[in-house]
Amino acid sequence: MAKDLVCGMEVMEEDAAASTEYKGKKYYFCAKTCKQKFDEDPEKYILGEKGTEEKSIKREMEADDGKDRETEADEKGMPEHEKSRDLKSERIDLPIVGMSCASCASTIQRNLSKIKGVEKANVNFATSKASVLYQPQFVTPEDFISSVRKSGYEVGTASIEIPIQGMQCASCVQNIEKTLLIKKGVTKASVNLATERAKVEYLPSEISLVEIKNVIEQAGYKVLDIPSEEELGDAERRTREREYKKLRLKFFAGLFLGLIIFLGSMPDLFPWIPDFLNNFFVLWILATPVQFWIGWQFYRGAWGAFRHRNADMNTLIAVGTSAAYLYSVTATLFPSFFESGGMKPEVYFDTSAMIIILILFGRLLEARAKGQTSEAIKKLVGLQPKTARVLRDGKEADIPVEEVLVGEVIIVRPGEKIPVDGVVQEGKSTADESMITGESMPVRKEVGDEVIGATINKTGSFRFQAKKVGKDTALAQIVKLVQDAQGSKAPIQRLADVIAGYFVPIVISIAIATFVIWFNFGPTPALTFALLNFVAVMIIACPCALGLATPTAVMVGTGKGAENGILIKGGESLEMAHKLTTIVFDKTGTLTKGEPEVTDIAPLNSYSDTEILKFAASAERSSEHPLGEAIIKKAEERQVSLHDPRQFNAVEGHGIEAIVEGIPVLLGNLKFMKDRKIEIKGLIEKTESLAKEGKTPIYVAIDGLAAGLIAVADTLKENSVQAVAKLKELGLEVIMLTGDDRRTAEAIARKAAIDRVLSEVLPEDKVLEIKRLQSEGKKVAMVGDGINDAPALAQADVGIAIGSGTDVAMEASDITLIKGDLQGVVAAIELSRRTFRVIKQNLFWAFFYNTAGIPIAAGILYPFFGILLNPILASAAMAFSSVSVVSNSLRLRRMKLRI
Amino acid sequence: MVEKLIVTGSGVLLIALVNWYFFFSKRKSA
Repeated sequence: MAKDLVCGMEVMEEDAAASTEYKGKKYYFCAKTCKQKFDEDPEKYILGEKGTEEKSIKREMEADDGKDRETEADEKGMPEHEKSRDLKSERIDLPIVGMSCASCASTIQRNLSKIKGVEKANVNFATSKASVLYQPQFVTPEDFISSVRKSGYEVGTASIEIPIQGMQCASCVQNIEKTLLIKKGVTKASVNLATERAKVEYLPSEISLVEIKNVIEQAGYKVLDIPSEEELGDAERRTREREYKKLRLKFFAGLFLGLIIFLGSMPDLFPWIPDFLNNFFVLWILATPVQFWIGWQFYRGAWGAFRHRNADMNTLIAVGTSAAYLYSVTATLFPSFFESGGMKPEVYFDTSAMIIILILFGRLLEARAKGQTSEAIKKLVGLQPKTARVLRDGKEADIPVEEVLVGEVIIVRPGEKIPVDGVVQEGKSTADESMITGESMPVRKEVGDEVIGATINKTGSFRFQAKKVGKDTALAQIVKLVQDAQGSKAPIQRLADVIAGYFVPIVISIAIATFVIWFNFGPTPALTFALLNFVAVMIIACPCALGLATPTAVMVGTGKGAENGILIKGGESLEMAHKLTTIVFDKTGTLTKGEPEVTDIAPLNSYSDTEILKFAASAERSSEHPLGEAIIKKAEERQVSLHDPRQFNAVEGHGIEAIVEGIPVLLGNLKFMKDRKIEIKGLIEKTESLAKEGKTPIYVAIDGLAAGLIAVADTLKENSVQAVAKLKELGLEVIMLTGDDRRTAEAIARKAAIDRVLSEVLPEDKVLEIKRLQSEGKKVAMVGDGINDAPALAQADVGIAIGSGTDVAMEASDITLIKGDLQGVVAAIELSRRTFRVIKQNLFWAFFYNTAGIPIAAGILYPFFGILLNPILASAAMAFSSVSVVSNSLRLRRMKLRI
Repeated sequence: MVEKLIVTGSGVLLIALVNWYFFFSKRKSA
């Protein structure tokens, strides 16, 4: 037995498809293509069974020449191929993101190979692809993706949101998700009943968008077109509006007919009704359009689900109302059949009609409320201005904002909206950025400052150069993020979906059992009781409130956050945030302002504060050091007049020297002073006390004598102390994480009232610290301000990125606070807790309705209290349950966030 | 009596059929 060095397969020498000789040694191959590859670069294969490369070649070869090789393999009777074919192996290619070397590839490959059901896994670093040969009955592509993710890499899947029409309940959600997930190439399918959208993550190499669309349509639902992003919103809105109007028409038509049927069915209660309306045939004629025109959607939905061995609320309504309708038709056509059995023929056209109408009414209310849950997105999209005034060929031109190109110069006048993101080139103004950042104070804009699209220019005119347009603007990114979050599913929702999937068949079973029991043991007329209770069980058990419980709350919660500058990435983040036990703050830039400030000035001899500032700041004018900038800023604040320094000299790592108003000035650390033989005895005591507070002293010498010192430190942000106190009040442990030395760190922590400090942590060790906290069983949130914190943000259970919302931080974090205020952390956690309280209430009510309603509908109270649930009441309760769940979620909109 | 037997038998059969169809039969792939 020899080994094919190209693809790694064992080959019988005598059966090999090809062979070649290289440096006196003979090599055997499973196929001619392998030989070709080998001949092109023999050394590569001989030297390295380095894993990844060779396997990719095999895969390329399979792709190029798969058919040939299969035939050849058949003929040669290769055991491995035979084996895989017998067990119907399948192969999938996954694009991998984030590999930086070949060892990354082997890590992924090793982990993939460990999965049960995987025959062979090859990861190619060069093409960034993993190819897995697997047995679909044991393992699914989703397992591979999670394995890759666990290895610390990402799978390059594409994702799309597909608007779907025709879903009615949680079971539809299950149905579509299941049908999609069976499809190879679909890695994730998350259907949201409230938004009526499916979020599908797929591998474009395995399945096309058209195929995905077909799958959903075959399952019995309608896919609204998948056009470009801009068209998407409009077309969708129009279709939904049309659908809503149709639903409303059906409802009012049904209400009219239903009322007549209802009055006509109860001659004893309404004796003033004309006699002909009491006629069974007239009632039949009136009930038929209600059953088959107005109620058609239930049949359509039920059939779609049935074909895929699913049952949902449509099934329950269709079967329940059909039972009442068909019984009534039989009683109308063959009254003698009932009379011969000693029963009075009765009709229940009113029952079936009223059920359909009431449920339709529930849906109508639901549709309206659902519209309100996505209001946050509408508000955000509405912020986008429609036109921009650009400078083209030296002339001003008003053009649609979509046509603005990167690099173009745009003119903005006072009171106008800034159309896209960019940098100011000319003029100055202030901008109201509250709609994006939540910051209510106008922000000054001068040449070189960044402006954000959709914010409002207040006072002056200016010109700016477009840097980001279309989908790249901050607003577009925020909208995308919020949409993604609203389309995502909180893990708790999975539970509800699974239950809904089992629920309906079980309910049908209970309903049948109810029928049998009432028929056998019930009072006369047994058939009537049996039928009515059967219908009542079917109707009360519709699990639609269950399907709406979580997504509506997540939508309103994330929307509410977005309005306040808190971007929550998804249901998962929202769910995790309410379980947190520990909040870890990065120090610099998060708790503190991130830029040094002058905190103390200690003059010596006869100098005043102002004099020291004047000399120090004047000397620093030529410096670019951040400490120098802090001193100048302080001088400007105190309106100290400064002079231009002469003979400026910066001594790296020590300090600066310059001549101000003809007097030599030195600024620097202790060593610098010693080098220049400046006596600083009088300042030693002060230096020590400052160091205890974590401040950095800068000595100032004027005219060869110590004049005093200026202390500089990074100071806390205005709201840090309150935020930390509030977090503690919420029962959370607050920890500070920093690279600073212990003394400085503790000084800052004391001011912020933080008890636990992890200091002297190198940036790369931040992740380890988070891991360590997690290993203590804590649920950790990391609050950081950007790129250097990204790994720790990703490692934490909830990563909260603070500040400008830089792309990297937004990617790595679960929650982004656009405004740099730490109160946002408090608000985010409160929002999460409130949202989850609402979800739990919703789920409780949804379960309560269904589980408590079923035994009552089945007549369990009848033997004891004589209570029976009328099917019409059951349908009203059902409609009410959905509406109450959605309304409960909408309560979140009124929540006041303390920011 | 016969009626009751028929209804009970059909009921049991229906319940079995519903549960078999939704839970135990092989799922059609879409």
